[in-house]
Amino acid sequence: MSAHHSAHPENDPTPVPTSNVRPAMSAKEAFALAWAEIDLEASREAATLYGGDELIELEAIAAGTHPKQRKLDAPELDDTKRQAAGALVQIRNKLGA
Amino acid sequence: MLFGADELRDLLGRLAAGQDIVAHVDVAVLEAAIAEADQLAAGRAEAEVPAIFAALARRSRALGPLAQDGIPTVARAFALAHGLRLTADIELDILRARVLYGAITFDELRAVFAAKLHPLGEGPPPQARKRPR
Repeated sequence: MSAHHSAHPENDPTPVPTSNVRPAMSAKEAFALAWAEIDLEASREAATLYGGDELIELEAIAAGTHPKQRKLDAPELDDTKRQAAGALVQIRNKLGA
Repeated sequence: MLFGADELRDLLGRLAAGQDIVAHVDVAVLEAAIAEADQLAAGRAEAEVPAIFAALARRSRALGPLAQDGIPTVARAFALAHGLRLTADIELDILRARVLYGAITFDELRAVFAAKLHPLGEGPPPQARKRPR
């Protein structure tokens, strides 16, 4: 993993190699449970509003107007607005805009 | 990776059908994503969830309209198969954009996921789905 782990091996849990891992459930079961957590109504509204444009979507999140933000409490809303604003800055820096 | 490209294609196809999305899921894209995720995870089970998320997010354009819900769903499914719950929703949209535009490293992404992955039965409950009409 990282240099931190090398420096403090006594504090680190032993990583579990993927070759030793067996799924806790089948792909179908995991996917069905995962899908059940999606807010389909908000997702569809977002797809309609932003057309799959991630930057427009980030601007909406930064403004606090994204459909998925309706269910958030005030601290969560502020946190997501801050995350999106930060992401926009990073992306625009990457794009040189 | 816990699941293969064919399983992901079938599952994403179901998601597309369930959401009335017309999308072709190219198994070659999923195979490439799984190969990249394997490299990113580097044999560490705890890195599989951010690894598959990153590898698919980089291929968001190839997944088209399935990317928005499909990639978070695959990440959640991988987490569940590892006995974990991924407690993030809109944050995954933000992270997907950052990955897509190269505005986050894998180590940073892994650290974010580490804070949002909890053993099943711990952490905040999942959000209730609002059923479409």
